[in-house]
Amino acid sequence: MRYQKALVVSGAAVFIIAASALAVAAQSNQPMAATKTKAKQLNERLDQAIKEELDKGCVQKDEAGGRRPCGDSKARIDGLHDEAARADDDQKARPEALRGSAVANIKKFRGRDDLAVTYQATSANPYRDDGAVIETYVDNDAYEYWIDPSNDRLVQMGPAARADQAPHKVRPEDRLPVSGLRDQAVRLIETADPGFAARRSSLHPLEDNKGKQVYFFRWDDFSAPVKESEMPPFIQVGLYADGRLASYTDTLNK
Amino acid sequence: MKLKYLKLTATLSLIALALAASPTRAAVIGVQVMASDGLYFTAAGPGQYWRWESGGYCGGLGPWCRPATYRWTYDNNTTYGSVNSAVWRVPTVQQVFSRAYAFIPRRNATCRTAFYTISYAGVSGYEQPLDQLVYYDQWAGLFSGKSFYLASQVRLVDGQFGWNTSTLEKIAFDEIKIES
Repeated sequence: MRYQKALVVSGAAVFIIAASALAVAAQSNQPMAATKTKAKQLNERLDQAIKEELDKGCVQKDEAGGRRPCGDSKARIDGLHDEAARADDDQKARPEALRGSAVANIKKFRGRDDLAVTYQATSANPYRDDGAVIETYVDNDAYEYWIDPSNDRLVQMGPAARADQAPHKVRPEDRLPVSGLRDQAVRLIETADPGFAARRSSLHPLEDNKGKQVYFFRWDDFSAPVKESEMPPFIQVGLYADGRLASYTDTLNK
Repeated sequence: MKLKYLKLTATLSLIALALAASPTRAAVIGVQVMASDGLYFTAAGPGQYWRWESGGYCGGLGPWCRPATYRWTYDNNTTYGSVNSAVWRVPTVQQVFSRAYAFIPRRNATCRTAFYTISYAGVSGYEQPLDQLVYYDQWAGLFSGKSFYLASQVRLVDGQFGWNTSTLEKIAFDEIKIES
């Protein structure tokens, strides 16, 4: 009898916890549901605009033989597309208040408190196929950063694709010896990834360069099998021959 | 009976907690990788300018896909625009927003301004250059993190009118990935 009572009381307690959790989840999902509805409506508006502009709007042939909107038709589609893209991202993104530590980590990595870092979007992590996402940020020097929102760590950094890129080569007098570049790369990694020093001996090292302009220092982790659709984890620093940072990737930490 | 009830409520609790969890994972609708010289790849331009090399994503790091080679060419003198180009068609155009990535191989990818264009929203195109020199056997994000609705193809050209790039630069046409 006493056992049965205890069972009923336990059952009631579990039910209350479950109901509370469901209520919290439902409450927190309310804005999400509204965001989803808004995104769906904007997609429908975009679909409609595309159809209308293709039927009656300004459309011209492009160099690849396809059709491109022009004039007001293009402006209308692009405007609606950007609006729908923002609404789509609102569904995937974590709240802005939670992104502060990601921005702080980027500034710390670059060693620059004055860096203006702007959130761009949340998208699938191309190095993984388990649904993991990355947040993309850009700074005022036009570098792009990928942050893993589950731990706020930097996954990748490199120049953002952009239209005002100025090609330049390293001058001979500015070149550093490879040993100096290697030391710099290791220092950078050890600062960004405190666990690297302990793991380094188990990783496969690789050094290479592209046209003696950018030098790459890479360590691959081949110790465990990976999914066929994923690359073996690695950490890599790309440095220009004068020591400036060109790119950085760290997929070791999941 | 009561044990069953307990199990059910415990299960409900777990589901609710899972629903309330932080969204650090997304429902990825589809990942589509289009291989250089694969089924969804079309190259254009004089054949004598094309080169092939083993390696790249399908040639080593993504052994599930084929072919194990990728195509490259020298960057074109930009007085006349592009000469060689290629298009990767998206096999299944998704009615959602997608992001595009390019795999940049360790060799034959030194072009500072590789002009990629994505076709989206049925008809629109968006173009931005990527610095292939700074990437090495890795995925690079195209188009500054922008996502595109109804992304249908990505095009890469070997030169762009008005861009003073070196004809000694090499431009790689390796795999393109679309994540939705």
